Amino acid sequence: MLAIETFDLSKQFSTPALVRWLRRRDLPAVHAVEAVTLCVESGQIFGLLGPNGAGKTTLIKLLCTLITPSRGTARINGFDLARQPAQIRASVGLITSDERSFYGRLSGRENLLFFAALHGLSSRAARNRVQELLEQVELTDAADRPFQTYSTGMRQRLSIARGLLHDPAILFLDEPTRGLDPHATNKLHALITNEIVGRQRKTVWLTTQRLDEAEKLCHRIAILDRGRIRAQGTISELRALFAQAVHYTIIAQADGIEKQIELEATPHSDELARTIEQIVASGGKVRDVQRSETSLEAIFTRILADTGGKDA
Amino acid sequence: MRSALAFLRRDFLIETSYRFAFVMQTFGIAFNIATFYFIARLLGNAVAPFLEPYGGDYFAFVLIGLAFTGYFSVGLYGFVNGLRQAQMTGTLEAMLMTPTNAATIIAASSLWEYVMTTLRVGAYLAIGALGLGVNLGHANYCAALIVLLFAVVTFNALGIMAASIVLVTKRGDPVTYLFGAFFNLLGGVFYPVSVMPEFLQRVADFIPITYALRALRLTLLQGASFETIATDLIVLVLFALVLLPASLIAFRFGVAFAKRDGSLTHY
Repeated sequence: MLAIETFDLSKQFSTPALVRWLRRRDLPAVHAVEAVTLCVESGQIFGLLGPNGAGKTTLIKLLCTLITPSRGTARINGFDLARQPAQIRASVGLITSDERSFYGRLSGRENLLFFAALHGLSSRAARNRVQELLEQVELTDAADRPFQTYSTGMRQRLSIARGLLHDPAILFLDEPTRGLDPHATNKLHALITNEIVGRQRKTVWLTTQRLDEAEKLCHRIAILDRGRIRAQGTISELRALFAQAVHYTIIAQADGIEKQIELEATPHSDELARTIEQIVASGGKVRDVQRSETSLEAIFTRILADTGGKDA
Repeated sequence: MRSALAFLRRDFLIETSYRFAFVMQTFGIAFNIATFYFIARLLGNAVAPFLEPYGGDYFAFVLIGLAFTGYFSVGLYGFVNGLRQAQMTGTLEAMLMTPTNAATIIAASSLWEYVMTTLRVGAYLAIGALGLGVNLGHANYCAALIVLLFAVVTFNALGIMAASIVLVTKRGDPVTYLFGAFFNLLGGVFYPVSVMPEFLQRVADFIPITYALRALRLTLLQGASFETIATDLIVLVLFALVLLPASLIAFRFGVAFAKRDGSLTHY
């Protein structure tokens, strides 16, 4: 079942001249998102990668009904983007890396209780749900401390708890590990994979610039550059499509001396076989062959280079 | 209702966490009253002819002006302040992701200010009546409440219009500048409209505060009946009937514009 489908979804920002003049500084007229067509399966982690300014956040805001598209359609959890925005908001949670989106003088618990009331939870249901979520994100000890005393990692976990308050089927995470140290990042990754997707079977849309994060977490990814989807699929599919070379490390032995040979071969070629034949023909022995997959970073760089994009 | 209570609780917790500011506000009311009490003593009976319709006492006149202008200020500025605060603290986006609609979020943001203003008005009237000789003994409270209701609706409508403009322009709207300036200059807060030149009195006829304050003073200080304040009340009702739907249309337009423009949370 598809959780998210978009067809030709586009957003061109163009502010009327009078309003631009009134604000003095404004968004330039740009095609932030252009003809995006993609789909995300339920219960999967979908990664959207792209350099700065690629349109990742705009695409999330379009899907969360915070921005109106200029063209195209989308269905989120079966609801139509143009006609059922309230139903969409009820079935999705948005988690951004904006640390300012809470009230600093209220505690984590008070913040969550406030947002729970806006989600329509009764007082008792809100208290229970908030307690449950604080336990899930491991913030029970700090629950009654003012939010402004929280570390970046704690703020991010509280943000996830807020996104889960109404038990949405889909979670949009916009660069959730930005600014987190490795320990906090690992903790958050475990929360996403084990709890949110593993146990609760939610669909996660993750935007990130961290290729290792996408490789570690995502079932499928798409690469967005200058508002357009340049490639999408599983990481193996993208490797098959875009990998220019497979890297082999061959450990060979000749005349009692061990040598390490590095080989870049084009996929599906017989270069490896020919190299091994040459080693054996010259009296050597092949002791080990290690194959390394093309990294996602190499694929990403290749795709951006092919489309003339910027570096991440 | 649940959302409204959540906003009240949020603002109560935040405001009471700044205890010193909370205490200072209370002192502010006392200082304000004392200042105008001494001005009234200075003026004595010299201004009585201008204040004859309201009983002739300047302190009683200005006390009503000071007390109720607070309500109108919350109506006029509350929504814009609530909107800008939510944009600047980054909480607007998170609130807009909930099923609570944008108009409710903006309206509920100023509820706490209304509660505080009600306490302030109560304090003004209590200090004036119990300690400084203002006679509210034969006030027509029922008529005053009806006047206040339509005045608050009218000023809220102006405030919603201002917020709609701020959604588009981000900062600076002609509604609060224009009506905010009219409050003190033309609306009769500190002096009766009748002391101004004729042409300014005609301008004052176009702003709701003129009718609201006149009717409130007549009902509270003179116990005026509905018949006496009928003209002022009808004008206020007309203002409310015209401005409220217009402001809701303007707000819907403002939100739709900001969503198209992608600037809903920009400030």
